[in-house]
Amino acid sequence: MSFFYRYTLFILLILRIFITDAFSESNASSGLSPFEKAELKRLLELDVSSLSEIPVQGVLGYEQEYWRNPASVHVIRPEDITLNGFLNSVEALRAVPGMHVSRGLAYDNFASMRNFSGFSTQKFLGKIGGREVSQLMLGSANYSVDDYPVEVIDRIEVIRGPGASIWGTNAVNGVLNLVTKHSAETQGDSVRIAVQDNGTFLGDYIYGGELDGNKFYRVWIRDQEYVEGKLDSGLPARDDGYLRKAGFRFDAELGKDLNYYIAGGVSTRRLEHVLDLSNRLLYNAAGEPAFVQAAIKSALGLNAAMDLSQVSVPLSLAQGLATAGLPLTKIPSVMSYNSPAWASIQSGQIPYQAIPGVSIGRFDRYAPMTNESAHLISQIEGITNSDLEWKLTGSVDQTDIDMGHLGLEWEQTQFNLNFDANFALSDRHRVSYGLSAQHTKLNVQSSVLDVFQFPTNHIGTPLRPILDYDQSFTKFDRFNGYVQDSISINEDILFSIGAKFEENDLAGFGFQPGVRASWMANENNLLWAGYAKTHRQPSLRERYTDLTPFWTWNSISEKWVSSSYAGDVSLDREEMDAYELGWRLRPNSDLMFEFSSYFYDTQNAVRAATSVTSVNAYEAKDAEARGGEVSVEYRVSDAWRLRGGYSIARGEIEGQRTYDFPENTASLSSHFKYSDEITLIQNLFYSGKTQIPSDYNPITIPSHLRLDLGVIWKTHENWEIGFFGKDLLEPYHLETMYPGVDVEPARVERSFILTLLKKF
Amino acid sequence: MRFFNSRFYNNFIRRRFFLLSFVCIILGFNISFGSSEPITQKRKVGRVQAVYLTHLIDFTNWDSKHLPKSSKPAKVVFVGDDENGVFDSFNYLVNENKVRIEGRSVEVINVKELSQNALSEMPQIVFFLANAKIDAQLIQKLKSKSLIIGLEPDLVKKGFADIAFVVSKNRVRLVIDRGTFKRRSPGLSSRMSTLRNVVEIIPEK
Repeated sequence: MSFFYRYTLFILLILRIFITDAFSESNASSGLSPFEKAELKRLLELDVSSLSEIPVQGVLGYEQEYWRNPASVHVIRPEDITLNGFLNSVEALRAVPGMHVSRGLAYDNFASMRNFSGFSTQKFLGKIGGREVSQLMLGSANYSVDDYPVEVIDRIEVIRGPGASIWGTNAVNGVLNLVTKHSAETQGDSVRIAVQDNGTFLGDYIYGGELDGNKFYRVWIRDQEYVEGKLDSGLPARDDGYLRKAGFRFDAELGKDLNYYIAGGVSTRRLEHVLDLSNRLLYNAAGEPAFVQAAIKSALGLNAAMDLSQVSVPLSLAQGLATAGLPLTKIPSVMSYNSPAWASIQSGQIPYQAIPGVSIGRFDRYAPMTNESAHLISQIEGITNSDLEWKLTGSVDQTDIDMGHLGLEWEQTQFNLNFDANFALSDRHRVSYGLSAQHTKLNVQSSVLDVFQFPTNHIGTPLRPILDYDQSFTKFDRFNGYVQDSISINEDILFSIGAKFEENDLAGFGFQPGVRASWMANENNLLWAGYAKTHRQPSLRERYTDLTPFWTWNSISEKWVSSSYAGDVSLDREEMDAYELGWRLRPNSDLMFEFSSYFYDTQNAVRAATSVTSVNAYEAKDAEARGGEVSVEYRVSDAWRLRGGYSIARGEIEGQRTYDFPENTASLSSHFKYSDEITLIQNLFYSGKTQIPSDYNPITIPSHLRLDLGVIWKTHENWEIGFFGKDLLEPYHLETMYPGVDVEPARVERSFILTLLKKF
Repeated sequence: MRFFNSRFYNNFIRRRFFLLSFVCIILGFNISFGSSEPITQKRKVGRVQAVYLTHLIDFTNWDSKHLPKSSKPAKVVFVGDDENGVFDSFNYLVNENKVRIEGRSVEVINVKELSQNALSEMPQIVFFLANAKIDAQLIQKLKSKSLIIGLEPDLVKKGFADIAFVVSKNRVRLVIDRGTFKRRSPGLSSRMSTLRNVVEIIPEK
């Protein structure tokens, strides 16, 4: 029996056991089910205008908080960010089961979901303020840069798994959808200031006004100043810098059920980032006389029979052997390479993992990493008299990212046009459909770093930048369509069936069907299941960029030769069959358990090549991922609320278990309202160990348990002061690093944060 | 997982998907066409209406002459069959959130028919549910003393209610008699009249 069927049977058995127990817990006293009561409490938080926007007949996938939604959904509210002392919204994802948030250098928080997210590439769809924010170049988004001030955020919907057919390209592992508020909801002033004990600062100011009864606007600014952190070894991380942003939104009611908005923003961010060059200038001793080769093998403890033409060692190691007295005759002279540049970036020694007990020179090259971006989005939406709800959205994004440490800069201009609509086919059918077009223009510039600028008479292969983009691919088009029918089969079963169709320059034509259903087993229990075929388009980095990570001194030709790994134009889209099962159990309106499980079978998963004999930088491999999440929400009393979650994830690439995503994560959050003014907050986060692959220094990030404690004092009607202690259990822990770029991970240190918030 | 990667499987699952889609849609149509709006959908409307009602209370002013003596709770009377759970939902919200009318606690009752007995203590709100029998004489007695709410917009148009709910364009909205904004008690705040997407205002009867 295949794993999939065993897995499904196991889940069904568990569900059967629990449901049998839950059946006995009937809750029929008031005529309302616990789910209905909980929804009433949520609706009560809406104002009259928002209430009038609640659809009677829903489209599965739009209303994330509808309890019959057949998907694994977590919704983050602005207060989940401010009450927990998170600086920005991506940090709040730490509390979402199935998500892994890790902080690396430069205060960047990386978010990944449910396994196989690789590292920098994400495999979920990121939508911020209505825009798809992933960059085509790296296939990922920088959520710190694309973030909004908390008080303009309405909610962040986290949908684990492919979700409904209404979601577009790249909704593979899930969807992250940050929705901003209507300007009418942000009238007046709002301020948020957060100061960390090390000096890191974040300040937001928002002002909203009314032009007449039907036109509203807001403007906002953000300043974030980063103070330099420390690396694992205690060395300075040189990641100080700033992020400055400004934005606006204007909303107008053009007529009854005809609304329009336009929003935009600009941002600038400047930091320094590092490139680990310790293993990037190599020496091959094949040209040395036999007795010297024997001496090298002896000094390094290598097998005497080893063929040294197949082994290259860091030049600093060879130079060390020469200094120690080994008669290396073919070692490159300091004139054959830019030795002053290398000398200027040397900072001590680092263990050489390939040969235990041996150290090599540590070379860290820091350079500015800048991000300048601007965007404009405009949307008009309405409902016709024939009950057709429609929405037309256009946006333009301009981004200029300079990764100075890698010598790669790209300017991306992207135009998007989307049309979405839905209508009632009958009382029990609601059909939604949409079309979208995207055009992307790129201007990519690669430069050869000073350390790799060799004199022409000493090179055996042409000079090449580390990342060399194929300039013949600078324009890309994507067309997408979807249709989905949401069907009420009977009072207990909701069903949706749909498909996405896509034609794009990176992955050709694709058809992505999906079915989802939920069954209200009784008033306390809801079961749901889903199947979807999903595609992810490869990033430009994976497809069209040649990687030249190191140069080797060939002691036979006595020339420097480069080693390059080509981008792979044959990398096709990743195709995934996703199977999901879930169960929502609400014994009463104050307590809810949610269980979800998944099995992902991926063909052509794009992974970084792990072998030095690989021809390409990235390879397509078949992968499987499976796991599940449990989450609990419990309102113990009017004053005390608990929220917890646990996730388990297992991944295999062609039969080999992988650990780039923690196999176990857990969180527990407690909010206790001591009085009307004082709220006490406690958060525990656990993350299992992860392994960061690397060609010469793979790093294991140990598991860690993080305890945050905080107190919020509501001083006036709209004013709050918060004090938070973060990572209180240990002075620091490690979370992640860029493989092949960072020489060591940065510390995430214990910190204390003071926040001041004035709400609207 | 070799089988799942095979061309046979991929072709088969694609065809199977189309077949399944066809069966589901036909099945869905057969079940749904000719049958009425699902009860779950009607109950959702009921919950939204109940929440509207709690907001309407906040937007309404009652003079002391239209309120019970200080020691007694204000009264909200639902008349008719509670098919959509509006009464249950509102009753739950009152109990959970301590809804108050002009500072008084609220008593919620559901009667089959409006009678003189039910009006012995003048209710602050009378809510006509589905199938409620409309007695014009009794309504005349209630007019301008209680806030009268109905489920059918016709009730406002005919002058039997101050406020009614309307379900159109897949949304739940309000129809309000203009006179409700003009009178002092029970009078609705003019702020409600500015919400163009929420409220349709009907000329006074």
